[in-house]
Amino acid sequence: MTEDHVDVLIIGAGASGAAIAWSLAETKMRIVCLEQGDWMNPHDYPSAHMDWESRASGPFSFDPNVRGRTTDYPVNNANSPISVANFNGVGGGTILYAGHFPRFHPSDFRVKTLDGVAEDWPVDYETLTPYYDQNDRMMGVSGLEGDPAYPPKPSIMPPVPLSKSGTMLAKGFNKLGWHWWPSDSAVATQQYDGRDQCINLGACITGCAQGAKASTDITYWPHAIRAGVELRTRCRVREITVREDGMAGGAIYYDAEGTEQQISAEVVVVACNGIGTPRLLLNSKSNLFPDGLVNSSGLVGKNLMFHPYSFIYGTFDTELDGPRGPSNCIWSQEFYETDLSRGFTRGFTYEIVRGLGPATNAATQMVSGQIAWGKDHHTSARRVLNQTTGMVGICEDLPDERNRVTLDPELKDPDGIPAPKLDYTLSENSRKMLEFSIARATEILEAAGGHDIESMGPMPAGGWHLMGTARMGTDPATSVVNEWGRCHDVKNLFIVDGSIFVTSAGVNPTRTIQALALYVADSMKQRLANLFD
Amino acid sequence: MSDLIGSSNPLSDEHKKVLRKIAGLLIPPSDEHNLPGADDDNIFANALVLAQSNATEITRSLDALEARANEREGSSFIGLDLDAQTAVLEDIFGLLEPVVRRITSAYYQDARVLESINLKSTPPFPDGHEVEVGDWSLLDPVKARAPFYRKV
Repeated sequence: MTEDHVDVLIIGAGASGAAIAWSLAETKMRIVCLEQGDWMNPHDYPSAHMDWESRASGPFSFDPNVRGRTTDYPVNNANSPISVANFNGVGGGTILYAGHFPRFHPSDFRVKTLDGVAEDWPVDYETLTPYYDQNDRMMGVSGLEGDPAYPPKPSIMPPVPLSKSGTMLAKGFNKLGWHWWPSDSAVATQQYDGRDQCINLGACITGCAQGAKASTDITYWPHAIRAGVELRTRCRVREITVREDGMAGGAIYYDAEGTEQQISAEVVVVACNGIGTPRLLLNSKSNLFPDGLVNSSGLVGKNLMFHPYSFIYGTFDTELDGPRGPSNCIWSQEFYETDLSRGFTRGFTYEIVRGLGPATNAATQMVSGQIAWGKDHHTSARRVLNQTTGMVGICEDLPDERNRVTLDPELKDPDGIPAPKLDYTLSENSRKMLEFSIARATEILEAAGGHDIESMGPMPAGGWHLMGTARMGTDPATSVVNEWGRCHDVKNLFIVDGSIFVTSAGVNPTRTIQALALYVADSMKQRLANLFD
Repeated sequence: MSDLIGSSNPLSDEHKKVLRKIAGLLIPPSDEHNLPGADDDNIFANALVLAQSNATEITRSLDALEARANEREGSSFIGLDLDAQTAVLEDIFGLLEPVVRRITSAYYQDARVLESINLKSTPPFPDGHEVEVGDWSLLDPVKARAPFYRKV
């Protein structure tokens, strides 16, 4: 075992780890980030290969249990209707995300005050606004100013194209008088910060071979590394160590050869996502923290929130985009803010998903019977392929302590570290919201001229957004970290990923995760002289 | 073709024979579109590669098919005539999802097939796709709408 010492140890090189690494780099402290996965080679991404759809459901599946890379850890989803979707590598989940990039709304931080549910956040939209703006510049956000669903916010690049699918669905929204707007997208529509512009590969969620999609391996990390941050890949952290004085001492990890290594640090930052972070904390037991690190509240791993997704799509009598164009297109937040007459509290976003790849489209609709088999197959398929579009509903999930991450007693990763086990039940509120989102989306598709509409909700494989399992708050009895990301129990330990979310909102979380990470970084920088007081 | 399949494929030769028969029945060749069927050498070889990742489910489906053929027609599936095979397939289609997905996926990633449905017969990268900008004037009524986010 070797040992080295750094000022700041960051665990995880994904959305939040990259952002805080870059922001803290200006302090000139010695910063090391440990990442269990590899750097990505864009030429390995499915879109550089003929069988891109097969690769997307194999080595580039967003399900770690399907992907099964040695750099992954398995997840026991057996007691959850939604399974975890993630990626482990430099860039983390941003490697396989779509880049759909909405902000939270001001109301999302005040759910208790406004709607009497869950808890208010200890920060608000106004506080995070400069960090949203800073993150937008670092990631490169495309969009259009003036969305009436939001307070004014800047746009850096023109929006992604509306194209045939967006045009078709926009007509449906307009016919019903419902809101839609070009999605804010972490896809560069122009050359930006050394990245080339989108050329409509259409495979965003399998990794962007063009480099137009803002994954943090090509946004934050090059800047952070140039500024002096050291990023070590293939380093899987087993536990965070604790010093005799109760402060975090560093970490024990396995290197690429599986050899145990130790690193000590003055400050430890955890950025492993809403599943990986509680897993690591629960695996970090010691005499001082027998129930897992920073778990005096008992809330580490609890209040797991996904976004239950509905998926609704229809067939049209004209050719649409099929797999061409970025996954992002337009969104609708007509049903975002609470209206109890709908039968549920809080709300959701529609994310229009343009089209499907031909193999996925054909396989799905062969199984459902919309494409015939046998002698009529070819005629039947030509009425469907490239003529399907639709949307997903991203439903707000409310925190519930019964929804939780624990350690599986049997399942382990390739280094023998216990894997996470999920216990999650869909709430009645979420169920009603899903049903409502399917019903309204069906109306939109019909208004746009769609037919043979199909739907599902929740999407069983749609656990992309992992939140709430080490939530922030001012009271150590009801939260794990304080209002600027520092753990109540250990004052040199910070958490910056989605696990610190108090509520989930009804939008994709990455932009807010990163804004929070930048906010935590700034809070640390402002308090360097008395960071541990 | 056997070189493409590889010796590690966990499906038995008998299973492969049945699978190939099903492939041809599900997606037959088309003279009209000048297309091969899904039992084409290259396409079926790719289907077998895809089938490796869920061979257990596929084997289960094929065994169910075989059982139904015996129960219904008193013969193995391969031993039936075309009409009887089609009837058994119709009868048990709901149990064949893993098979249908793999065969269809292999078929619709073949360059000849992609060209026939107006898609490029090359990987998406590096050439990309042309996508029209769309009609942004559709946004005018939304732009006219007053802000509706909740003030806090």
